[in-house]
Amino acid sequence: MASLRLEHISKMFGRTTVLDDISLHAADGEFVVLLGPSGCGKSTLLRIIAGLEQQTSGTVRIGEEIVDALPPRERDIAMVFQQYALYPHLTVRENLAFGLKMRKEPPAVIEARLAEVAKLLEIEDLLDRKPKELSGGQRQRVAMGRAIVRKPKLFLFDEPLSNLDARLRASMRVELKKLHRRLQATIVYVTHDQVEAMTLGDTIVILDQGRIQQIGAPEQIYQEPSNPFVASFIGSPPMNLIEGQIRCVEEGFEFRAGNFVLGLPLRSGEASRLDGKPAILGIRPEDIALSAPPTPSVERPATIDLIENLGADCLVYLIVDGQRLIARASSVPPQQAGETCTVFMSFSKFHVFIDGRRIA
Amino acid sequence: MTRTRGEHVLLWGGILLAVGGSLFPFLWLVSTSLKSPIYVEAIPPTWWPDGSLVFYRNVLFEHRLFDYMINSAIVAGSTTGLALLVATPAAYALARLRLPGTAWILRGLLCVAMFPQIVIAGPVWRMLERLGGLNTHWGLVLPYVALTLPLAVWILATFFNDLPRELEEAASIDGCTTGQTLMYVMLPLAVPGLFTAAILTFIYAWNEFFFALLILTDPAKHTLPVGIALFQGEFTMPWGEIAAASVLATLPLIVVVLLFQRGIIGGLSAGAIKG
Amino acid sequence: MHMQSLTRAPRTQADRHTGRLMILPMLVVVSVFSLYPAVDSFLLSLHRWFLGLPSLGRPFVGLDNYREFLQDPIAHQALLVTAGFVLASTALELLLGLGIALVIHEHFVGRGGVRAAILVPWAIPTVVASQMWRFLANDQYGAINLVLFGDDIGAYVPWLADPWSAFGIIVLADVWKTSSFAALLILAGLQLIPDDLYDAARVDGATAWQRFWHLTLPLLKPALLTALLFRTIDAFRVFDLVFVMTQGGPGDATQVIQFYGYKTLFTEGRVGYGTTISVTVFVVILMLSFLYVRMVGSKLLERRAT
Repeated sequence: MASLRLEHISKMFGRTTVLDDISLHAADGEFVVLLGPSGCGKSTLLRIIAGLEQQTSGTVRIGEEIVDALPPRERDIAMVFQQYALYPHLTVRENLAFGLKMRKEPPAVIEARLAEVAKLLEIEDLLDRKPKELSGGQRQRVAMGRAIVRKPKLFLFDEPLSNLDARLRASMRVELKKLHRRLQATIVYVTHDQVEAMTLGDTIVILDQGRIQQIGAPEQIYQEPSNPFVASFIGSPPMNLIEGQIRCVEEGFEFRAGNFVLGLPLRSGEASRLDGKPAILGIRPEDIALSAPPTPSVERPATIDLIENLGADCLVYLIVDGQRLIARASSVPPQQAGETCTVFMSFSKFHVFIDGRRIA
Repeated sequence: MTRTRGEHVLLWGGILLAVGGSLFPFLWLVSTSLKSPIYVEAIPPTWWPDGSLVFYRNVLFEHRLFDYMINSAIVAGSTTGLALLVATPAAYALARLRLPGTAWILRGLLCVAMFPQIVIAGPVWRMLERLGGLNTHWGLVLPYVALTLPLAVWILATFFNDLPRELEEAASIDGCTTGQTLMYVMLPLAVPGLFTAAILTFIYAWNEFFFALLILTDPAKHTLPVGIALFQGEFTMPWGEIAAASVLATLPLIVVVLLFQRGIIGGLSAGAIKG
Repeated sequence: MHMQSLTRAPRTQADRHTGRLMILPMLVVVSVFSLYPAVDSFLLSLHRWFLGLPSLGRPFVGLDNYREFLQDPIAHQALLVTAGFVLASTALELLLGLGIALVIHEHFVGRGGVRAAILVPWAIPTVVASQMWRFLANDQYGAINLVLFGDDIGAYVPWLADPWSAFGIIVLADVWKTSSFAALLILAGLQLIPDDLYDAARVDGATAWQRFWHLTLPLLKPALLTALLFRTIDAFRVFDLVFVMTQGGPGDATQVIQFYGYKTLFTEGRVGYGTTISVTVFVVILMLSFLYVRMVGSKLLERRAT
């Protein structure tokens, strides 16, 4: 295993900038997830690491070695593809052995590694089948097996679970997590699924429009999104974001968006700089309650627009002082749609963004 | 899919017409080839043959049809082998390696496939004359390879292009060079495409007439089409013999078509080139 | 996601080198046996050269041969016959081809067998087809007379002896031989039309005829055009049929331009002039080919941004 370091990677396709000055580091054994909407450049970044695509500028280091000039076969990496890319004309056994054979490993070594990996992934019974005789989940395992058997310096995963149905995806996610713990492998994992990112990653890198939006541990990304994009991208339903203005008032600061006015927990030292600035206020749905929470909160009358019962909890679509907000409630509220209620917004859970940056 | 009564009539009428129209002329030829000589020249002709094999015996043992078949098999076989040998790596490179000028080469090949043979034939004839290639099998095989390459390259390139790119990427990550990727991953997967290209190339070379007429003038070297075209009797047209020879020349192709109809249809529409 | 397929990593120098080596043999063969001869023919057409009169040498005569071509009534007649043949056969082949394509595009029991049967004319060597039609059109033993007139042998027609009917038989033979190929090109176009559209049209209450006229035909236009161009080019090159069936006769009624060129060049040994005729055909075909190549929509030619 080895670490990975990307330094100032940029990629242009013609005049379009697909990746813009990406720098990041994955420590030996770290599970890094590249997360972003489709078209954000995450897959391109993964392919640059693999050597399937050449960056326009910047450097890729695997271990301490600069690999920019090396073709994929010399980078000692393994990749699990979205469509698995199992060789259809080879049996599972041959698929697993292919990379080792190409690297001219002795047959005894190949045999031993094969047995080990087949046992690890519980695919011993499938070894003599062809890929088309396997179910989606089995193909997925074989694809991972083909990567593991090589013992590469670095694993690359390109949306490996996106072709599985929801139930299988959940169970593979758990297995992947266990596998990582067991192999202590350095993994770069591309996905657009935030649940995968949150559950699997030691570190999440959020990309949008070719730029890194935030790098951090899952909790950190969720609790302290560094800009409105991350705030809206992580969390389902997304964070309520309200565009308005910061105002300096006697008691401190307040946030105004039309009739919607809230006091803000900002330090007063910044008063002169912030007064009158356009700002975005973010509140996660779970931080808006329909009954009084134990923490200090702001109370507002609200109209219920719609209630969606999800079973475990429910989403309440509200209008508060002219602003549309979504709240997540643990139980269905007694009121009907169209009726009014009182909402409580946790004072300490407000997110405030100015000039696209988080200030609180 | 449900059809109304009228649609059923239309469909089966169409099928009957198409199949009948396609097969009737050839069946007439088959029938003629199985008649005794006196029935071939009966006026009016008879519909059904009496099952005589005399014409087949004649063409095989008294004429040189057997030689023609051997010649045709050698020429068509060598053409197919050589054309695939040259076309396969080229098609792979054109479909996948993104070399500059690829699209132009592919378009150019389509144009070359359209060249009228007569404009090529004269200079090729003189070239072969200088090289001593006239009346030799290789002298015909070389131009045939050139004439069939556009079709073969297009079929194979279309096929390679449809294979998933991820497989090649997986192979390159697994440690393959470009050559090894072609050898161990792409070629085994391209077998159906190779097969289609081989069949169409073979049919082309088996059927070609113009070059064969010019290059193989020695009757011992004639291929089937030339032999059949120049078939002469002493006093009258030997229709029975021509029919028998035609059936023998066509039978292998009909077997191939029956067996590989699907691949042929797919291959022919690749780049829409005719074999 | 789409961008990735647009531009993949430029391969290493070694890989590019391998790629060029892979294409090279193909380019060499095509250049030596197709491109060079075509250029050579063009140069030859600027010379006077009689095979039978070596003492005259091969003087350069500029465009003299082309002037002769413009004033040669036999060549004009041959062009006229060729044009007539192209027009008649292409039109019939497209119509029949469309019909066949519509039939074999449907799902029915035994479709594979029907498709194979329709491929039979395509697979038969042109020479065999020519001999076959020559025999079918025979004045005494031919099946055409038998089908039309039965036992009434007094009514039997010598089809190939009359200029018009000989021309007709040659067109018929070509239509029989190549309609199935036109059908395959059109079938490829039919297969691109999603079934959903037909379902939608059915739901909207369109009859079979309306579906054909308002849906199939407009969507099939590119495929029909491709087939039209392809068949036109191919019909222009007709040679085998004429050589075997009529040798250009009776009179010059079926002497197409390719056959005239062949006779001049190889039978009479007028190399310069014969080549001029072939180059003229070549230029016409080349122009049609350029149109054709622009029409061909292949995935192979897309995705090549860099």
